[in-house]
Amino acid sequence: MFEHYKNRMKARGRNMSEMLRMQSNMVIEQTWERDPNYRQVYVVRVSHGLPEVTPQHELVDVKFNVASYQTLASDEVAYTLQFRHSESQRHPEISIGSYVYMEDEDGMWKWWLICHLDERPQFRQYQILECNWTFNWVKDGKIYHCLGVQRYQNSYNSGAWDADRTTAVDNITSMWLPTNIDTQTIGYNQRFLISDAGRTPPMCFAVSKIEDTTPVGITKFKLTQETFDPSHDNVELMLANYYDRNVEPIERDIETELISPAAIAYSGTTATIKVGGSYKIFTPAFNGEGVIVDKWFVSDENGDISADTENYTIEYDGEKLKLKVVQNYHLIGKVLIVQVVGSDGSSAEVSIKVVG
Amino acid sequence: MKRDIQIVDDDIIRKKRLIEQILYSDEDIVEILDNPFIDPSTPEELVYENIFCFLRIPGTQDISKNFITFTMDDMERIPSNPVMKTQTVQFVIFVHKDNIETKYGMARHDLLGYLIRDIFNLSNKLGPQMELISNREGVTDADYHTRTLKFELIDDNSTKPCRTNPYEYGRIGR
Repeated sequence: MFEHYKNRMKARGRNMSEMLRMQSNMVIEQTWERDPNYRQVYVVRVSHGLPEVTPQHELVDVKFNVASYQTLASDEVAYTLQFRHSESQRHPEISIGSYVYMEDEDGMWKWWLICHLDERPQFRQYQILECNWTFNWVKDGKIYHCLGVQRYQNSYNSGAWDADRTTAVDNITSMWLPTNIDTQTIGYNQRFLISDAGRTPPMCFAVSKIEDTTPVGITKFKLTQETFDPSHDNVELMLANYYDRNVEPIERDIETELISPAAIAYSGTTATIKVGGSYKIFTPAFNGEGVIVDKWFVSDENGDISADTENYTIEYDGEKLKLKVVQNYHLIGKVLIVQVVGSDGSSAEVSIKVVG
Repeated sequence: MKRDIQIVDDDIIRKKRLIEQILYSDEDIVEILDNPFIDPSTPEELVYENIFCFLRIPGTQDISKNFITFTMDDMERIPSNPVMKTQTVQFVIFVHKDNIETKYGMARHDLLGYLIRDIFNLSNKLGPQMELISNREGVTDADYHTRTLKFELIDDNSTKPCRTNPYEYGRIGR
């Protein structure tokens, strides 16, 4: 009986402070839906690609609070999001770096990014910024997309930074992106085309500074203005460094990468083969156990080239295929497609450009 | 392109292609150029990474730190025999100061210089015999050390069966 009484008293709070805080929590809980700041939102955590609300996501109650008001003279302000007490224990996706999908007062649904946790003693709040740009970039032949925040800072300066011997244009726009396997591909000097539609040439930026761990979950990139380079950048797709490689970059498809039943690795570092060069060796890899190569196909735009022994030498070394191109400069520019088919029917292909 | 790029009628282009090929086909040169990003089984990828058929000053952002660049010049017709000309091939080796040391107890630019001299001096690889006429050391800035080797050769002066331009008399292009 005494134990029962002790537990009952403990549930109300072990001391006066705790009791008052618990009572405050109860009041907040009871009045939650009466608050004009009350909203129902989706919280979406993404490991790659763009955020998307799926049937698995459920609405979460929040209060959408204002911490300070925006003026043109100040830095861009963040708003705050308060979740119900212990909500983050029920929804592990509520953390820094997650997206919030919230309806504005006109009924438009917009994406926000959780950027900071305000660790106040009670009623902890997350600071959020509205996502205002989809960043697109090319890295190692793959095209990546990420919804993020292009954040401006209104600390006025001359726009140029003078060191002892050099002058650099200083741009203090920064982009804030959730830290994930996509955004971790962005390194120093990664270039982006970011400008309004219709501007020719578009504005080009390069990453000059990366802050990764303040806070963990968000990566902040500082951008420096660069000149647009038509020989490397694709203005139609607004993708910088699109033409860096001989083979056009492709959309990154993580699902295929992870569960692809087959893949081809090639010797060398680039997807090119030189006329009169050495053998390029293609090595297959199959996910299925005991799968071996059934067939190799090498083709150009006119079909199979295996009969064209005058220009190409194809040899087989166990499971591997070796390909050599004779020193015929007419072949420069051709794109060869090397395809492997496994004994279980799985297949993979790579495109290789002939270069001089 | 309407001209046949397979049979380019220009001895400089042909010789430069050949020099590139000779350089990347030499295993020792591939090793001493020391580019960790190049697969030794496909050494032709060194071209435009570490081997350049034009004079190029390394940039500060270059990942590769050692370069062989080469240029080729037709110098003059030989006065006593105008159908012949003197030609020079100049190799300029750039090695970053951080990479100058090798495990063979000699400086990398000297070693690359030796390899080039060993391959080309007094050889007939380009047709006429090549002869080393100078081999000098230098620096470009605080970071890069250079070695410049100059070879001379005497070749025919682009002789044609008749002294006309084939485009003017309709033999090509109509």
